[in-house]
Amino acid sequence: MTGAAILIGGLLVVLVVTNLYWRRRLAAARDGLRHTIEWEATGATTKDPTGTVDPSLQLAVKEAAETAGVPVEELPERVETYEKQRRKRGKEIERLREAWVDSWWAVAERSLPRNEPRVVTVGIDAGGHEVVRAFAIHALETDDEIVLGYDRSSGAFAVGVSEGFDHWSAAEIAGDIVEHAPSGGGGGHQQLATGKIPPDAVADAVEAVSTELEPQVSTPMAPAD
Amino acid sequence: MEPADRVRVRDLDAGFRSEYEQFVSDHPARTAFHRLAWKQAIERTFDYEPAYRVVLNAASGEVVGAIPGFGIQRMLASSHRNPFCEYGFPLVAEDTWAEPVLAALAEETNSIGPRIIKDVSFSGVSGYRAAGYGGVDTGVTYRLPLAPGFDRLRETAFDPELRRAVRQATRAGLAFELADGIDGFHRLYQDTMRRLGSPPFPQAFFQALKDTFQEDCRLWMVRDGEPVAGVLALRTNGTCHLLVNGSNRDHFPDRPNHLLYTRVIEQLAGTRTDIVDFGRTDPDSGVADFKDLFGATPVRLASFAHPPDFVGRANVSGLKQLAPMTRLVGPALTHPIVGPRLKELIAE
Repeated sequence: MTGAAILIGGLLVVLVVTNLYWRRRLAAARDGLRHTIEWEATGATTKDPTGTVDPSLQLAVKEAAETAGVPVEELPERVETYEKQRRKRGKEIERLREAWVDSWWAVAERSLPRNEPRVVTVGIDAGGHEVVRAFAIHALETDDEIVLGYDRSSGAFAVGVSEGFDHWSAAEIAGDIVEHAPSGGGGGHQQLATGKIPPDAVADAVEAVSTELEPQVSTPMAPAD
Repeated sequence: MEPADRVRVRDLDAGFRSEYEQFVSDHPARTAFHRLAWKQAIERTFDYEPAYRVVLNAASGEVVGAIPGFGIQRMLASSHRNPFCEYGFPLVAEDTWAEPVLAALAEETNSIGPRIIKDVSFSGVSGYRAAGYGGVDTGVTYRLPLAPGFDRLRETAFDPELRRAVRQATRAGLAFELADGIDGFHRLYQDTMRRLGSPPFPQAFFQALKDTFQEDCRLWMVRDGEPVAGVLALRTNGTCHLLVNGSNRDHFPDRPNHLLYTRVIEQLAGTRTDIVDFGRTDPDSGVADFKDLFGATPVRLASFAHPPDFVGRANVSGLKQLAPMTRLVGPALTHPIVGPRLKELIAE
């Protein structure tokens, strides 16, 4: 009886140990296969020959994150936020620029000849290409006008020609302005052209072309300043 | 047709040596540990059975894959693997799908026993899941690309603490050199292993590496009269693998290791070397902090086992768990005769 009990007990122990051993092996296989799936799913198998990132790039990212005041992981979100803010500010600047130019035109119209062809020259001291172009665009909204805008600080200039003046070309007028300067360039199309020449030459060059155009078109107007 | 049937696996020593050598030397992902020089050095030093394989396209007979490895016989845990290194993945022809190669190697395990493949995220090998391998993470290796040039690396990648340490080492009069003989280095290395309680390589292995890799095996040392730090490195395919390091703890206040690695990087940046591979490290260890100082990038390592229930044999963290015990029996583990025997048994 005792012998049978020992035998049964021994068999039970063997059964339990064997069972535990195979359960462990099965769990190892399951974990291993799960790891393999994760390794291949996370794109771990790249063919990047270096397997590394240029450390100067890493440092640049770190510095960018420090400047932005966020952890590196949050840098993409912060850059996106900044980009949205930048676009919003850009639109705001554009709106303000248009409002300012419109206001200027509203005041200027009081002293400009009405209902007759005219050349309007607008000189500003700052603002660059975007602002002089905004002034020149006014010509595109009228019937018989040539607008010459220039910025003394940057040398940027713009030419706008009304649609009704189809015998004038904004691009050709821009070319004339460049010819009056020691260097520079310009170009555009029939109604709108822009260019840039040395800042110290821009006022004289534009005024000279304006003077050449006036007898052919109408009475000129004084610069904005 | 099953994937494994599309290819044929052949033993390198069955007349495929030149095919293996040619395929490896042409492969863009080759490492020092795929080369026959590595095989020869291991064969000369350790009692392992070579298991290098060439995989042929079953239809055309062209070589489409090559894998290094040795049969490591242990009483209860034998396996086939590329020992003592991080890179044992198969090189697969660029226009070939890796799964049939992996599947054929897996099928071979029925006759030769479990295979462990040591892989890294940039090897480009995929198909382990489909071929039924179980995987386990084995840490990270730190790699530093030298493309920016040494001056730019020093300015942008190196930690200011590293620059200070190098100045300190220079002021202490430590001298850096490319060394010839390995005697002094092996003593330094043995001392280091004794300190860490880890079985050391026998000196014969370093000599075998010097003999088989020739000019691609470099030994750099820092001296303060006597050797105080050194590193043995293998160079292949634009990558310099810093394989083993030794240093004298008494000189740590003078920062010899900072000087050593900085000067090695400076020398390599002026040669045909694109990457410095600092080797596998536990990312939570102090060694990882040291490697971080150089701006090196951690790159993920994993091992894959077939059959998948043998994945435990690929898991090197098991050795880490033994660390408290190794401190107790350290003198035995690092004994000049016992230590190398244990190293051979562990094969890592």
